[in-house]
Order: sequence, then C-alpha cells, then structure tokens
Amino acid sequence: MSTSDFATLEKIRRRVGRPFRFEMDRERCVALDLTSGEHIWSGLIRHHSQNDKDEILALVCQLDGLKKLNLRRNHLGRLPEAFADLTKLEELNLGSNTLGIIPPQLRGLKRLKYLHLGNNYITTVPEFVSELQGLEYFTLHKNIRIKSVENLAGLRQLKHLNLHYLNLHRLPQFIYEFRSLVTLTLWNVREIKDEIAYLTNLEFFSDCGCPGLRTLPDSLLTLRKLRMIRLFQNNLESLPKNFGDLENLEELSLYQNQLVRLPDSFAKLRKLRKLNLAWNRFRSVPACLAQCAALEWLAVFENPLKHGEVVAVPSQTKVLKVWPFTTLAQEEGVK
Amino acid sequence: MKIAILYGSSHGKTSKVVAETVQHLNMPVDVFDVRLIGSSSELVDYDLFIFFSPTYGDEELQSDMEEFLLRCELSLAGKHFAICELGSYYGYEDFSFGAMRILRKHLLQWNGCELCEPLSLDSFPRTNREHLLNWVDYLKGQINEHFRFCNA
Repeated sequence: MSTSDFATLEKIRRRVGRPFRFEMDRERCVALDLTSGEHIWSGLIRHHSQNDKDEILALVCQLDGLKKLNLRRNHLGRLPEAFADLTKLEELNLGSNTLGIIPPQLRGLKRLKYLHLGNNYITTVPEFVSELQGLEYFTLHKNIRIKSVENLAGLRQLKHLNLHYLNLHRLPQFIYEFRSLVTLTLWNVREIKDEIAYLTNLEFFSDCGCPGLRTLPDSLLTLRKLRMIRLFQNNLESLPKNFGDLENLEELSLYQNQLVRLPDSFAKLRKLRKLNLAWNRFRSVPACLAQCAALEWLAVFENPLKHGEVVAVPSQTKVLKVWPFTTLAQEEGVK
Repeated sequence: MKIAILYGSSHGKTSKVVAETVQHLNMPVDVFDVRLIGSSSELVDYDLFIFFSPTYGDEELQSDMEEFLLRCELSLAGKHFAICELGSYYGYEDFSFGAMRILRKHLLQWNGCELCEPLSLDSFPRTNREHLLNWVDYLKGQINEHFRFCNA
C-alpha cells in the first residue's frame, strides 16, 4: 500500500530525528539508508536507546518492498522477528551492529546478493547461511571469534568474499572451488595452496597479518587477472622469481615483511601504479623499479636504506621515504 | 601551563603508548583514563589536552572515548589540543584510521585550537615506537614554542 509506506517513513523520520536517504519505486519504498556521511558517527540511530532502536526497526520491517537496506554502524544489538518479512531484500548491510550471532531472521532472505556482517561479535556461521545461494558479495571481516567458515561451502556464486581478521589460520579447501571469485580477502592464513590457481577470475587478493607466511606458491603467478595484491604484515622473505608474470598488477602492498630484494622480473610490471615496500629490510631501492613505467606511488619508509641514495624510478613517481604523521594535512590542511 | 593526557584503552596497548609518551615528553602532565572521569569539571584547569584513542571496527572510536565524548562536553575556548590515534595501517596512501576524525570534529566544535599535526600510529600488530617518539619530539617542540610565546 502506497500511503502506508509514506506514512511508515514519516514515522521512522520522526523517531530517527535526522534526514535519511530512501528510494521509492512508484509508491513502494525499495531502499532505505540509516547511515549518513554527514553525521560524524555515521549510524543515524547509533546513540538512540535500545527501545527507540527496536521501535524504528519494527517500522522498517513494515516496508516489505525493500530491496536495499543499510543499517551499518548503528550498534543495533538485535533484530526483531519481523525482519524475516523483508523477503525482497537484495542488499543488506548489518556491519558494526554488535551482533553476537548471524540473525536467524536472514534464513528466508533468499534474494540476497550482498550481505555485510563485518565488525560484529559473531562467533559461528550457522548452517542456513549455505542456503543463501544467490549471494555474490559476502563480508564477515573483523569477527575475530569465528574459527570456522565451513558453512559457506554452498555459496559457489560468490564473487567477493572478505574473511579479514577472522580466527581461521587455514583456508577451507572448498574456497579454492569458488571459481567466480573476483575478490578474496584473508588474514593470518599460513598456507596458500597451489589450488589458488583455480581462482582464475581473481582480481583482488589479500592475505595479511600472518607471521607464518614466508613464501608464496608459484601457482599464484598464473592468476593473470590480478590487479591488486595486499600481503602486508606477513614474514615474506622473498617473492617468486617470476612475480613479474602478473602483468596486470596495478597495486601491491608488501608493507611490514622481511624482504631484502625484488626479483628482476618486477621490471615487467608495466601497469603497476602503487607499490608499498615500507618496513622491510631493503638496503637500496630496487633498480628494476626504474622500468615500471606506470609507477605513481612508492613507499620505502622504515627500511635500512643508505643515506643520500639516488632513487631511480620513473619521473612521475612520488616516493615516500619518511612516514608521514598523518594524511590529514594533505586532505584538508591542519588548522 | 597545565597539560592533561586523556586516553581510552580496551586492552592496554594505548595505555602503554601513553606511558611511553609521558616518559619521553619529560614535562609535568596529568594522565586520565576517560572511563574514570566523572564530569568535565575535573578538567577545567588545563590549558592543553592530548588525546590518545585507538580506532576499532569500521573506523570507529574506542568505546570509552566514544562514551566520554557523549557524556562530557568540554569548554575549550582559548585552549589547545593534540591527537594521537592508534590503528592498523592498510598499505596505501591513507595513513589515517578514523578515531582522529571523530575526536577532532568534537574538539573543534568545542572551540578548541589544534596545537599541531596529529599522529596516526600504526600499533597493530606491532607498534611503531620510533614513529611515536618522533611525534612526541615534534609535539614537545610545538608546546615549547607556543607556550613560551604565550608567556612572553
């Protein structure tokens, strides 16, 4: 009912106390966003009482034509039973909501393509998650108590999977079968198996925060679509000899490893725009970088570089030899 | 000139960074865990406030510091502040984490004047101690310069 959605939105507006974004399709509300970049806390009801939050959510659940719902950074704590009525949802953001579980109300939301559950206190991934087989984007990052993601095994359509800062240590074998993955974000995974080569659509790959990660498999170099790799805060001592085979690579962060040199094949990375070699063990800036013609940004701070060395890099490259205190001055100027 | 250091710490890392700062600053300062501050009246005598807060979650403030900002509005007209945020650096051009942005907005709203460039300190999993000490030296220089000038 058209008037009903407008009336419900008006009730929500009164309780939220701030303007928020929504979208109508004819007279149905199809998108609602209870966050705002203009509000310093972002979540518009973050500091409302639990009672107010419950009331607002109960009203939101009446908007049963919703396809997109953003509740990020609102510290909601819980969802009402009626949340299960939002069966048309395709995108749902529940990041930073102090949720202790993946709410069972999500079980029937079979149209979900995008689900953000990052930055919560979730401890387990329940079985029903494997039934959400339309999911293409799923982030569970920063739920450090999660030790197993075995129940993601059914999500073979996933294109983007973020498992940053979970307590996994090893990557379940089935993830190597997720052939549609474009983005895979890991943390503290000690072993990247040769089967990584199956992920031929991968463009963005991260595995950070793993002291046990000292080498990379050569099979990684077969992933020619890779555009961005983040391998910071590991203990990498060397890179594969043919690393330069990743000819589509645009961004690479190797910050805080144990590297002393780069393989000569790096010179083949003609699309590389950003490279972070900071906090490693380089005594000089690798000469091969002079041939990385697209290099725009290079960080080498916190390395035992020889004082006064001339850095041979393309003329447009901005080289950071000293760690800035912050980027604030660049963004807006310090008052 | 009286200096207060205010910090929020969930697991003890920030309080260690504060202790190291106090030692290196080598000036008389009073240190407050914001969790234990009853009201803003406890802070009226100070001229300079140095805030330390980690960033948690999704570019969010440490919970005690968030609660402090909501609970205690400071009157900072004619007073100065400096900020050190702690967090985990993600590897490219953005060296900030989020806590500083929220703190700074409040302190400016309360009419405070920022003494010097803030610090975004990579503190997880390893704390960049050298970076911290460089900033503390810089902060010390700014304090000496500004307050010597004020007292002249």
